[in-house]
Amino acid sequence: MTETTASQDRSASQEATAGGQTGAASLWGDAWRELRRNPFFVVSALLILVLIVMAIAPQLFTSIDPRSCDLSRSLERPSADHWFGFDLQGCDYYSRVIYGARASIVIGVAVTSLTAFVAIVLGLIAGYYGGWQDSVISRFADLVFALPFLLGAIVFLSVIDSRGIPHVALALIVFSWPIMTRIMRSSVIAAKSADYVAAAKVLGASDFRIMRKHILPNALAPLVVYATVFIGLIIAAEASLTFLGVGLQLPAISWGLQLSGARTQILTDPHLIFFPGVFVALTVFAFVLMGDALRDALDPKLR
Amino acid sequence: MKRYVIRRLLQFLPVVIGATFIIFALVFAIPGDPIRALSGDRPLSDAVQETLRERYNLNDPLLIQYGKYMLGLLQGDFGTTFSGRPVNDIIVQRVPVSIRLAVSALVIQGVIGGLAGILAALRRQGFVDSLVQVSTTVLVAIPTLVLGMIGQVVFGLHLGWFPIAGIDQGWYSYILPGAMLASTSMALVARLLRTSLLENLRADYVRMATAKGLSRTRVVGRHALRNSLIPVVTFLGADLGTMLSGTVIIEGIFNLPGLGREVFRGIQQQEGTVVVGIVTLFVLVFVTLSLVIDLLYAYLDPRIRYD
Repeated sequence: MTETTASQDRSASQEATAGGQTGAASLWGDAWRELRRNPFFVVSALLILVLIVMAIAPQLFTSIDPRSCDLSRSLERPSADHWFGFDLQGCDYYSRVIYGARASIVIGVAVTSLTAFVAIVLGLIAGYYGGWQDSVISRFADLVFALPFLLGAIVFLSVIDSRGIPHVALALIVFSWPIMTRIMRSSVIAAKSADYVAAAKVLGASDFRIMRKHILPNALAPLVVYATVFIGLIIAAEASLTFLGVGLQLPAISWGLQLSGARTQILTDPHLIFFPGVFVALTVFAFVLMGDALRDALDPKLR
Repeated sequence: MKRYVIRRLLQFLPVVIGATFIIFALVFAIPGDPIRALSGDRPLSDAVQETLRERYNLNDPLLIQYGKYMLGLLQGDFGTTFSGRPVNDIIVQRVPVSIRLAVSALVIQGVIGGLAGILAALRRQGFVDSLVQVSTTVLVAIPTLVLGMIGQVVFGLHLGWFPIAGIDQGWYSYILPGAMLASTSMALVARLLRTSLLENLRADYVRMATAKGLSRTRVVGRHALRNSLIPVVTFLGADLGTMLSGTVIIEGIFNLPGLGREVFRGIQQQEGTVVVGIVTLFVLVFVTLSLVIDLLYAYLDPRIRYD
């Protein structure tokens, strides 16, 4: 999702510079100019960039292998050489925490892009056609919405024996699509009544072309805002599921696993909670902050 | 009003049936052997497996299975643990703790969140307002899991203000977990109340009330605030699901012997029936409370019921 946003922003910025001479600018171009001036956006974008690099190439941040552990150093406290200390197995905790970014970022981005894709397709169908298509999709969304998504995911995952990133991602998608679908549906309905849609229809454009060329670009903004915040929510949900014991399993390296492992040593070794906790919180914070900035920039009513 | 209530009640039933069916289908109808999946790592003897198959009506077709399961639910039967103890027993025993936790969280988020929102709106761009803006931005973005664990270390362990775990000290033991559970919603309540109060304070009827010579307290308290609470009520309804999920996490962290911790323990000890039974109860509570809040909303805001 972040990548698509970025590319939209990039193309939007080109439009904006090209359009600057004629004095016209698209919503995305306007938004981009607004965003560059917003310090919260800049800070959150930098944070997210660092985290994504950390997920792709953790070697850049640490030269220590998170899986080469030395039991004799078990639970050593943070020191100048080993900033975050050692965990119970005597693994360097800094390198464990750095490598933990990958699971969170992968799940956050994968779940959000797939859920957004489902929401765009279902939202376009329900909003554009209305009628029975809308009834079927909306009523089904209501049913799934009655299951709080973390609780649904707990049940779904607790009957699966061995769980990895795909299982956790699937459970989160299955229970979280209704919200984005509702958002998409209502913005499609709003965009549908515009004159240019009627004009395109009169000119004989196909339904698919109208949806792709005219409705989608104008109905996407609320979804993009929510999806950005949603990445943060999903990362928190993954950590929570893993903490509860229905998410990722050892020997995977993830912040949720570090937190759940630290739970038993809370009295003696609080540093084991502190570092992964701060990383989860910073990551979620960065995405929520960016969502706020995007909303301010994309919602013309607030200007 | 009557038509709205009837319509909303008619929507309620299919949602309950559908939601319980989804849970049911997930657990009992996925490919593979549900009994084996439920029992986890500990293999069960053939006799036990056969008994369980009989008890869960697994030899029947799916819809019949679901019908029997629903009949059981209607009679308050949430299933049985592998040691033969009814899940009902566990629920009855654990409910008071969860209710106390929910009450503490609601009081904290209502009082602190509400006061923060009102003060911020009344002194717009003053010190309190900035403080509320900054602290809510931060609080909203910290997951309950992290806040709970760090709160436990800081306030329970280092400062020693509150018990670290358990419920030995009565209501006092609920303050810290309640605050950690409430934090995100508290921040959102404060923000929402601030925005809607600011909007209402600019409304004509408030200027009218002031012009009539009413005191500031009365104008704010009786006129502006009452209307500003409407969006907060809607928010509380939307937020219920998050609160219920948060209960599982917070009771797990603070070792409070409530329903959430039973889910947590059920997962750890691979007692699948306990997890499913209690989550089903949570979903029923969620759907029912959503209905209550929707009706309350319609009662508070006439525009809804004449739609």
